[in-house]
Amino acid sequence: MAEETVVMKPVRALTWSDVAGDELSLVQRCADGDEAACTELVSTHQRMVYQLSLHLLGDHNEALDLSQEVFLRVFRTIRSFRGQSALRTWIYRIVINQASNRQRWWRRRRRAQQVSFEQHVEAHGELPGMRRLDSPDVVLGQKELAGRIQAALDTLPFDQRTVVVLREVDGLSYDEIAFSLNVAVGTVKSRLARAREQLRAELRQS
Amino acid sequence: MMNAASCASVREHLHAYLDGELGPAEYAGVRAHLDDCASCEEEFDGYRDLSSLLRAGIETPEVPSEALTRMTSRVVTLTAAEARQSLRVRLSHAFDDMRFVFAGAGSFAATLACALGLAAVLQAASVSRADSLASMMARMAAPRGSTANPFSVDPRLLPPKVQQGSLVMPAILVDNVPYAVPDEEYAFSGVLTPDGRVAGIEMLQSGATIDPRALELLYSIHESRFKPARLKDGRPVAVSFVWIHSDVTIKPGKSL
Repeated sequence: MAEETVVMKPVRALTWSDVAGDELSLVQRCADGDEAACTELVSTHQRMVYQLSLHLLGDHNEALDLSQEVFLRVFRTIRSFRGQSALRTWIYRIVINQASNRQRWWRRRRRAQQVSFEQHVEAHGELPGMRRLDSPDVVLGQKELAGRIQAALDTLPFDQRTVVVLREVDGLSYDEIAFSLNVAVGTVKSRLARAREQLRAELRQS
Repeated sequence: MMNAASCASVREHLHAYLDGELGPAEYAGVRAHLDDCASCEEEFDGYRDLSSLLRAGIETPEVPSEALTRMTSRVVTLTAAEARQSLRVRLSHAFDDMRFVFAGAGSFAATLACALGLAAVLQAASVSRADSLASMMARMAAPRGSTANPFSVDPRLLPPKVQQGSLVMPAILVDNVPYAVPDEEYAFSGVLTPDGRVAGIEMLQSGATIDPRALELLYSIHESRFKPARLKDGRPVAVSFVWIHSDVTIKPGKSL
């Protein structure tokens, strides 16, 4: 069992105090056109935005371009931020919206360059220990592991891939993921379950 | 091993358990079940290992600091430029979020529909239409005995009389017209005002056409002057009337 890795959901409700203080002050200054505040906001969140963009689109230049678009959008709509979520979650939502719009044509463009999971295994050979993911002695080269997982992630629909990235990489709660995707928490649960099921099946193959 | 129903129920919650999204009671239930059920525990271990693998395997990309610094500078510059740009461009940005556009268009359409509806009701209630509610209300509000709210002729009133010499009924001599005129009856309604004039006269008939004789009669009645109807105290009042006119052809005797 893994009691030490599993935690109960903390009982908390989002209140104004969560986004009050420095964050609200920063938002207000940005809305007033304070360039120093804008720089601070971008600097604080650019790493997170770039990484999420890269995970969703899979291309460095696209991710940079999307990050710029996201921050421009943030500043255009910052007056509509009312503290209904943490600023970070609100920015996540914008990233996902913009990425969702972009990935429709980007995915088509990438498809020709992508290798399927099977092709990847053929090219790099079967990786040791992948037949059973629950085997404790799974040892994989980081690069090979990353390639294989990325190939498996690429087989997921955008919505499911987004949920997995937000949960496993960014560690967002179900509520935060639901807000970021503008869907119900139940939808997040079902997408996450389907995504994990498919990923497990993909990674167990071969 | 617990029963199948419990296993199915627990497996529904395995992901939330793994992600720390269960409340205390559900958490305790799942945990107790996993302690007893090897099958569910194996399923859970599979997802937990997958999660660990994903966290370890999804690359955390190296952040290109210089590129991000340039991007920051570009974003801030563009944002500042946008803040200074023209009203036209600002208006175009108003359409960035179509939810507000749809809400605004909907509000405008609803307001317009209400305004048109109100105008239609006001038009239907116009006092210019004799059968409208507004017209009836205006009649009832007018003083009793005025032209707008006349009495009916009844025994309490001194009836109106034609002023001598004022009423000239058209007489038609058959000899003067090239065709035979049939006998007819005409009915007119109207109001005799307190000053002895005729107001609101109209012809009562079922047919759609009015022959020239009827028009001539109507004109004659309208132009006539009357001694108005009076109350017992002598005050002149308006009365409504119905005027029935019969044409009678008088044929000369054989002796003529």
